[in-house]
Amino acid sequence: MEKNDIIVNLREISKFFGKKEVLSNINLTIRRGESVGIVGPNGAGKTTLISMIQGIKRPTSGIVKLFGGNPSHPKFRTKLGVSPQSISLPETFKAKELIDFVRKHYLDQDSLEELIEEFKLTNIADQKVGGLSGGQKRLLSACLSFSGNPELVLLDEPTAGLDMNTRDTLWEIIKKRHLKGTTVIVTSHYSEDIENLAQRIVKIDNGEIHLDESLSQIRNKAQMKNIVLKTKNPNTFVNLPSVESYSIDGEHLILKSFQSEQLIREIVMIDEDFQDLKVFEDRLDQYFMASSEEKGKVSQ
Amino acid sequence: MKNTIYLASLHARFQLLEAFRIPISIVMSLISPTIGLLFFVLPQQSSGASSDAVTKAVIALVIFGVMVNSLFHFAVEISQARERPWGSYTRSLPVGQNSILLSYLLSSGVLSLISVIPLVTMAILLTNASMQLGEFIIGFILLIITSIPFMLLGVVIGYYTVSKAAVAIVQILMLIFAFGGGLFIPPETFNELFNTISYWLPSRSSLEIVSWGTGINHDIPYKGLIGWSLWMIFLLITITIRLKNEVDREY
Repeated sequence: MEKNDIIVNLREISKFFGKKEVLSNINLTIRRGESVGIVGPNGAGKTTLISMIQGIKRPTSGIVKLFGGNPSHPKFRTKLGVSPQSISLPETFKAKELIDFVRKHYLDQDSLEELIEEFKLTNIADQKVGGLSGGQKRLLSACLSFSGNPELVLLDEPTAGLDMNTRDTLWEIIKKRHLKGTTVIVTSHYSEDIENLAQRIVKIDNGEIHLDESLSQIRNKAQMKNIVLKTKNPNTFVNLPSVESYSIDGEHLILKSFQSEQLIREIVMIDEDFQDLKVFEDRLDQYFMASSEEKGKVSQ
Repeated sequence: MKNTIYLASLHARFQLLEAFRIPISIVMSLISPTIGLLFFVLPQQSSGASSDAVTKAVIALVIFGVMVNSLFHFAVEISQARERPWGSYTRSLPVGQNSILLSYLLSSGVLSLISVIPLVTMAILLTNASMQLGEFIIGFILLIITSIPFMLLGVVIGYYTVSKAAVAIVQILMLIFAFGGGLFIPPETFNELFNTISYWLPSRSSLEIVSWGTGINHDIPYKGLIGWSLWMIFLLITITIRLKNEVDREY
């Protein structure tokens, strides 16, 4: 198989819970070797999307394909590892017993000892899960997701509740696995997670994909500045040479530019009234986490 | 993908380990047949019951033990597994519903076997129940075959209900099958109407068939065989439909 084979393919996916539409016309393909961060505010539909890829939720309409087949059927989940947001591990089992149980489902399983060492679980391997801290359980959950040496791993909020040291440890492990060829799909509320683990960012809000770009593209955008002004005739400003993109919010026109000083000069030079000019910097996590504005408002 | 038998045995071992680590969940089904022997069979024997009557009473309690284990284990375990986040997680592993179902059959079989060992041991030591080795082996095989409807019924309850409802339904069915099937009261004492109804219960079918196989009853148990067959057909159709839907079920 070629490196750019599509391993996840979602076509025109919609999902309703009762009358509420939680995903709307989602189209998304993920290729072998990618690391994709799915971001968005609470209730955006991230976990629903992940659940569909792993086959435990079905779309109301549209098609989900995992390794070319229906993920509801187990034969298409043989190369999939999952670390769900809420797992509630059986408390009477030792950590190493759970790892062993999960890895034995896979043909290409890693050795138990190697997994325990890789995920720094040596000290708790013989402890029952009921006695582990939340962070230790989260690390164990991540270990389970990699125990079958999967080609694709889904990590839903993998660092929630972890201290910084454990988070660093997990980032390093995931990055190493990714470098060895594992495709990673991660959701998180932490922009640090996404910046560390993902090269492509998919932002979902209100059930729709609002952004699907590489991390480097987003970093470039984050270097842009927002110039906000009040005007009755925005069309005069949006075509200025230094404007990269713009949006309109009521009476306010928001212009984005990499050359803010030049743009201000251009604004001053044209013969058009404006008021309340302000300059703001974008932050990366605004792209990741903030709720999107109304659809169609932002345009190039 | 790993084969069905391997995955079924993997899950069965996991289920048994969990059951033994929380023994309270299986104590009732393990000891209740033995308690039945102490309070039902021994008094019968002291009041002069024949060896055949005592043997049949022991058989009835063995069936009761297997029935309780099967109904509880399948219904409660399956319904709970479907509700827990861990159950949802295992749904994302590469394991099919056939393996899961087979794993419950295996673990339930082991628990049933364990539940009848103390019962049979006490019956040998404390009662005048008697049986040839050949009859014992035939009876054991027939016991396994006739307990399949209990297992399948447990599966149906487990897949169709939530765990709290499963416990209540199993308790009601257990009483109906135990008393109505003649496991606690000799069916010979039933009036005609009750006796007719009793023949349509899987517990009565099992009692009649195993009693015949072990030489206690000599007449071929036609009614028992028909009852057993009808239960099997009904339950297999229901489960096939359910498992087909289960693949597409959301968790």
